[in-house]
Amino acid sequence: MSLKARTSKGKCKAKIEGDMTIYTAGEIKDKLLQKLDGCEAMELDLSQVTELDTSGFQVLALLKREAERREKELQLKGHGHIVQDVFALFHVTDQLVAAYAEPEQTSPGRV
Amino acid sequence: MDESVQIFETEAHELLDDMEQSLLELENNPDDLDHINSVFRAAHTIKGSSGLFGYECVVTFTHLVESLLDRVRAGEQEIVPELLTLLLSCCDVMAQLVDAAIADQDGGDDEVQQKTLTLSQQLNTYLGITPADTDQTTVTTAEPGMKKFEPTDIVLGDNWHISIHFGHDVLRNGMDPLSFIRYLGTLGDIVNLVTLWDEMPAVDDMDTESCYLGFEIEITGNVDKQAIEDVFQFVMDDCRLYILPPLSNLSLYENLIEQLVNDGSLLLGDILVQSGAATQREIDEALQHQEGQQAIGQSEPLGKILRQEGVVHPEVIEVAAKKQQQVREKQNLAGKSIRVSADKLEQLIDLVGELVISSANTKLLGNRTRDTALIESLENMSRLVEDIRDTGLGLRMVPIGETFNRFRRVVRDLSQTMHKDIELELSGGDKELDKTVVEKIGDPLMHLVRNSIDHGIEPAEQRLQQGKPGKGKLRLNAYHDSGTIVIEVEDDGGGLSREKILAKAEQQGLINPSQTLTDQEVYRLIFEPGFSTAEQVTDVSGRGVGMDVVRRNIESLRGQVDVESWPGKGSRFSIRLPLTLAIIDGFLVKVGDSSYVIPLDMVEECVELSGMAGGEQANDYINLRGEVLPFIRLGELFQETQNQVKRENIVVTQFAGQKAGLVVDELLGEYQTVIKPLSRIFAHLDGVSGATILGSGEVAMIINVPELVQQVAMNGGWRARGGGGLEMPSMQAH
Repeated sequence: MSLKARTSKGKCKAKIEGDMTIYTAGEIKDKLLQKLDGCEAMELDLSQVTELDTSGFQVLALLKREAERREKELQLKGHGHIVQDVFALFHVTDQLVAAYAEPEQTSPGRV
Repeated sequence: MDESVQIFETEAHELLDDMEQSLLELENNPDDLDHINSVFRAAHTIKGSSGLFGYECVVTFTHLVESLLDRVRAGEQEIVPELLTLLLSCCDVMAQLVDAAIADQDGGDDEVQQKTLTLSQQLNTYLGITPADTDQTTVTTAEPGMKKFEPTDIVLGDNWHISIHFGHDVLRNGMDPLSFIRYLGTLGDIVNLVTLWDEMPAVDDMDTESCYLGFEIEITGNVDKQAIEDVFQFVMDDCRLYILPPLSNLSLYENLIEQLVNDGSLLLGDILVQSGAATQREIDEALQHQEGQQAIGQSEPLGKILRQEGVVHPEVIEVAAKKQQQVREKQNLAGKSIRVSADKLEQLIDLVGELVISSANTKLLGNRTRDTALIESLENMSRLVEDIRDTGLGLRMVPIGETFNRFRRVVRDLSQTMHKDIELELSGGDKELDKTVVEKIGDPLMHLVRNSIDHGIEPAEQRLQQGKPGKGKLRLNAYHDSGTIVIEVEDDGGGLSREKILAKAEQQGLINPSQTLTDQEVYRLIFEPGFSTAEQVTDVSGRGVGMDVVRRNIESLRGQVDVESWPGKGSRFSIRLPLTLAIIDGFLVKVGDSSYVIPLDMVEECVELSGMAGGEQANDYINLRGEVLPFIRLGELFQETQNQVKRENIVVTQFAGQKAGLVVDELLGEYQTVIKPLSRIFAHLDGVSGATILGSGEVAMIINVPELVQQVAMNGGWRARGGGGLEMPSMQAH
């Protein structure tokens, strides 16, 4: 697993590659929350996630909750079928990714 | 007849009786759910078991009845008197159909078929089914045993609701909720799922290795509760799981619960598990909870806990609890009664009778030996024989209540026909008497009841004019009185009319116009053959074949009927019957060379006649402690050889409040008497009611005390009637 993140103008673009499982979730949680602290909005690319389990999913749920609590924008994007599967199974696609589907919210953030 | 058919017949009739009783109850309390349900159950069970035997016509008709009852139960059909009348008629027809079906004539004869058709049409009218639809209805009922599901139950769909909160350690234990949800998806369609992470703590406390998720899942599919629970088998110890069945399953559970076989030990939990409404685990947990509560001195019923925990729908618990109640009731009854064929019982009683005689004989022989040990042992044995006799006779005793209950319907129907408003009051239904007596008392009672309704109780307008309540009252009452049972039929009607009876009796030549009669004597005239005062012959009573038949029937049971009347206030018929017809406790006396038995229940006391003041004896009266006691000499009455005895004794007997003395030569003491009826030739012998065989093999006549007492009391001594005596039939013991 690796997490790449770059923050500019208060906006953080992050990308997770590899697995998001119970073995890595702790590390991912710490890093992501740290990044969230240092930005106003975050865009998280999940397209390169190779494995997602409940533990990993909980980190995403936590991140979402924290972002909402701190009134920061969080976009999950680019998730492949692995992530999609889990979201669909948990019926949370709408909840977590709704914003992602809205084009007007995705474009202005782009740099 | 096949045994199972026999059972079906008995049960069907019992159920129909129940149904009728409940319908009558509903008349008074139209809102009583218990009775509505019991009527429904009766119809439902009859339909079911008729189906098993292939009695199509019973099934078809009963189905219609059941459908209507179902609507009543659901509150869609109000209970009105016309509806009850219809249902009561249906009850009658169902009984006829059942009988016809058992007699291999499904559908019954033309008359029954006609009735069935008429009632079916009326039922359909209530059900709102036009004749065209009727065929369809019959088709659907052609499969008996099929459970129908009420469409009204499918309110909120067919989804199971699963609520699961995983324990924190699930992930650490190598389990992933994802896989459970995935697997659950293979059981049925997950219609809806809500993932909850509201239990997730603040960032710093959140441990990524802990699980904080909960799910609310709606799933549809052909699954049962156990299967769903099995999905979560591996996390069972580490999760909070609730499974709520689909609402549409409610009726399924209810039906399943109703169908459960009574295996003898049904607990509420078992019922729920067997029907699939709850799993064993849920019940175990609830029981644990219950135990825990008991430990701290509180206790809640299992049903309540299950409801609170949301494990089972309250409706299902209610049905299950009701089932449990039913099972218990059945068990109680089963514990109390067993069906025995009447023949076997009869045989037993006969044998007990022989045993009594033979033990008397043994005792007699034993006494002659003067062997103390033997005599003592014989005493002991005869005590046991006495117990066996009492218990044996007790087996045949049945409460009169059932006979009484039959009259509710009679009174209801009659008062409607007669347009009279009559309330029936029953009391003393728990009093027991011999089964054969109960069977034979039905007709005379029916006659008296009809008579009271027809002639006794006046129409409402007339009652109101007389300042009485418009609603007439008829009372059936039973009580025990010195070895007899008294059954009273009492009404608050106009009472007997002395003038009418006298006029009628004169017209019939029963009495002489110059005779002066007391009220009591006048009233008794109505029991004379061919006597009927009803000016108008109705179809209810008054064909002139009434009261004398009643009297004859009752007298054939060694009973008596009497009437009291209060003009304008009502009248009371009392039937007095011996409790049993087979064996009695007797008092053995010696007159001349013969032995006689006086029923012990009617013996008040014994006094020595010679001790009495001599002058009064001549007129067959003695002064018994200041009371005039008429007496008769049995020796003269039965023309026994007049032996010179040192001391004559008077046995003071009483019957129905009247006393008379019987003069005998010797008192022999208590004696268990097996009544051997006299053959028809001797049936009309005055003064004796039967015979018995003594231990010695000798025959002893049983004195008919009621008859003697009455004759003595009425005529001031037997001789006043001019009856010199009777020629005793010579009898030889076998």
